[in-house]
Amino acid sequence: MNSPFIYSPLTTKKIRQYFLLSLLPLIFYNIYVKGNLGFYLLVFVLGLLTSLVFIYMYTYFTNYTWKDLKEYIDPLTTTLFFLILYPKSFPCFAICFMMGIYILFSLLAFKYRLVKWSSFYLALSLSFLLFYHLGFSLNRLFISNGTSIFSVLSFYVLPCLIGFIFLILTKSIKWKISVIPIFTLLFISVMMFFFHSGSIFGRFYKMISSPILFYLCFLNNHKDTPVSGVGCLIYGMVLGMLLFVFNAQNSILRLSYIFVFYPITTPLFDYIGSSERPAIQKAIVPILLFLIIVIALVR
Amino acid sequence: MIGIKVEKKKQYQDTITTIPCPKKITIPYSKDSIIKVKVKDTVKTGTVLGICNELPIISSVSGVVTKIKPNIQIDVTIDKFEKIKHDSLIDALKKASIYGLSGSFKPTYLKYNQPAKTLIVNMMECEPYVMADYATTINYIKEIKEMLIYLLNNHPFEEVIIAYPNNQRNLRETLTTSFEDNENIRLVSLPTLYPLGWEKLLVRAIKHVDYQENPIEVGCIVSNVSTIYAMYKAYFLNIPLYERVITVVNEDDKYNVLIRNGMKVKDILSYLKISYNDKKIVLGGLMMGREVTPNTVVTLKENSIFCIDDVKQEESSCIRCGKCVNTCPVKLSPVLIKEQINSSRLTRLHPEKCIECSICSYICPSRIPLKQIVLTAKKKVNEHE
Ligand code: SF4
Ligand code: SF4
Repeated sequence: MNSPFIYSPLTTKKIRQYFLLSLLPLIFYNIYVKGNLGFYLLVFVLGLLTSLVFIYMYTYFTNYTWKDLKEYIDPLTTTLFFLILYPKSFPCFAICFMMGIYILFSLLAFKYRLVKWSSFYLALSLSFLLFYHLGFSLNRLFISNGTSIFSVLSFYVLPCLIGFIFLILTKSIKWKISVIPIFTLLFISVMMFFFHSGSIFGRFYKMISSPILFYLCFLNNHKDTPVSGVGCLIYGMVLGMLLFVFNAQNSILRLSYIFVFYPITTPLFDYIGSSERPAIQKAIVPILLFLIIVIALVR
Repeated sequence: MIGIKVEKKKQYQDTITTIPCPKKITIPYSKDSIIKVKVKDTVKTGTVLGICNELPIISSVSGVVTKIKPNIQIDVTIDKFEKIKHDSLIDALKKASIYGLSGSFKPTYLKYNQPAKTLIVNMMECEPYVMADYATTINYIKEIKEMLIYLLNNHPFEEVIIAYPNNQRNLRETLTTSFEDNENIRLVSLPTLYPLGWEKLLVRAIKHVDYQENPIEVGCIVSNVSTIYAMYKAYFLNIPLYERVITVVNEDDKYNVLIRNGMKVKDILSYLKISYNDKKIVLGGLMMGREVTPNTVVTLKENSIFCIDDVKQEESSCIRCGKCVNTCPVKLSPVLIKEQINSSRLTRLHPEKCIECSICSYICPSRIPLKQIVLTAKKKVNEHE
């Protein structure tokens, strides 16, 4: 039996292309706002090359074939994302450093075959956390006005939204994971409108911001989201609520922790969503870990 | 989820070309068959060559038997026909060796032996590019109608439901004109989704009920429209089943052809002037079929032959997009089965429920051969049990 002999037109290669295309509105917006095309393109190309070099190194150290690693679009996308938004304040060497940490942790998790799920997510999360702090300090160093990199992002909602919608329409990302958190935020905005004065859209606009939108795209492209429909639905709703809680605390730093740690919970949602329920064991450790983090953050 | 859209716009055509008999015909049979003819026997089209599972093996040509093992080979001469004699519908279905022509290929008399309230006529033909049932319906609508009216009047059926694809105006008009005067025959148009032609999904889509093993549990019999036409020929014309209409596709050329049981793939392709060198030949549909050689014998079980370019699919790692889980018609989780293939928890994911529809492999953007993986898991679980 070797059927099928026909395949859906959507391939991972196409998804990768769509991701890069979805960044175009951001690029054009940036060129329009900053007006420094030459410098901008230079940084863009350098960033791309850096990512490729690190993906190659990753391949070399992990014995993964180049073919396997081509699928690891996330470092590439992340790098491009930061380059597009911060060509001046977030120079290439910082990204190289960040990629190095990312690679180191992933390498440890894969090479030594640590407990598959939790170790991979932990490694990933820790590397992102370090990346965040690194970015934060470098940002201070280079801009030296104390502005958080994340707060600057809120100016880019519209181009981010265009890229986001494009990815949903091309089915490159799971709409349940991407749209449901936004609807949850919208629902909360409406509820708040009834209890407090002010416009719904003003509140909603404050709640969704480009890091959230970009995170939702990026999260989908990661290998750590639930696979079942029900799992994605609940995952999206809980994510929306968490985003609200930490957004409402006006703490971009805490919000970033949610970005970093939420994917740890994936095994739980896989467990809830899968009709046959494969195993709860692998969900327990990451969930406990995540709960501790959330409690610590809220306190 | 009742299916996915595989073919963007199905282009139907209703002309049926008859493929002339080649010089030799090979009629395969299963090991447990009892063969009644000997080498050098002269047979007619319709002669009983042997018995398999209580049903006769019918000769599809007239000629001289030249070989018995491992298959019956007949040197073809001028057509002479042998008809069946019967005293009831069930008797006709048995003697004419009528099998379900939808792909299940189970003896049809077993279905009609049981009392059912609803007869569902399946015209869905969801395999992409296949239009043999469509051509059969358009060309033989009078005969199909006569058979359905006979079934309504002589069986305990309260109604007949004809399920047809909603993107075919021509078919809708033919059906509406033919059945407008009959209250008990209802037409239901359904979206052209794959695998909506599968009995279980069809019953779910029409009756909104699920059954375990057989549609009779919910009072339904599901018959393919080509089977209904074969039943008509058996009951009213006393002609056994030895030929059927299949679809042949080569790139943009599509044909509906009437073939006899036991023709070889190359006989059919050569007659249609299709060059098959350097091409992959697929028998039985692009979604559920298998790759064959030009010398493969085409039986009445098959509904199509495809000549396609040999394009290699590059496999990459899973991106956990969940498409395989969300589209599986039996609600399995192929990606989780893949992850748990060597684990003792595999049984909890029930790979044995897989109906081999290939949707998971079709939809996977990473081109992971999920169907094959699920089938391996199915084998493991069955062995374990
Ligand atoms: S469809 Fe393919 S890539 Fe998507 S979750 Fe299933 S196995 Fe993974
Ligand atoms: S081949 Fe099996 S596992 Fe795959 S979609 Fe069809 S039924 Fe589900």
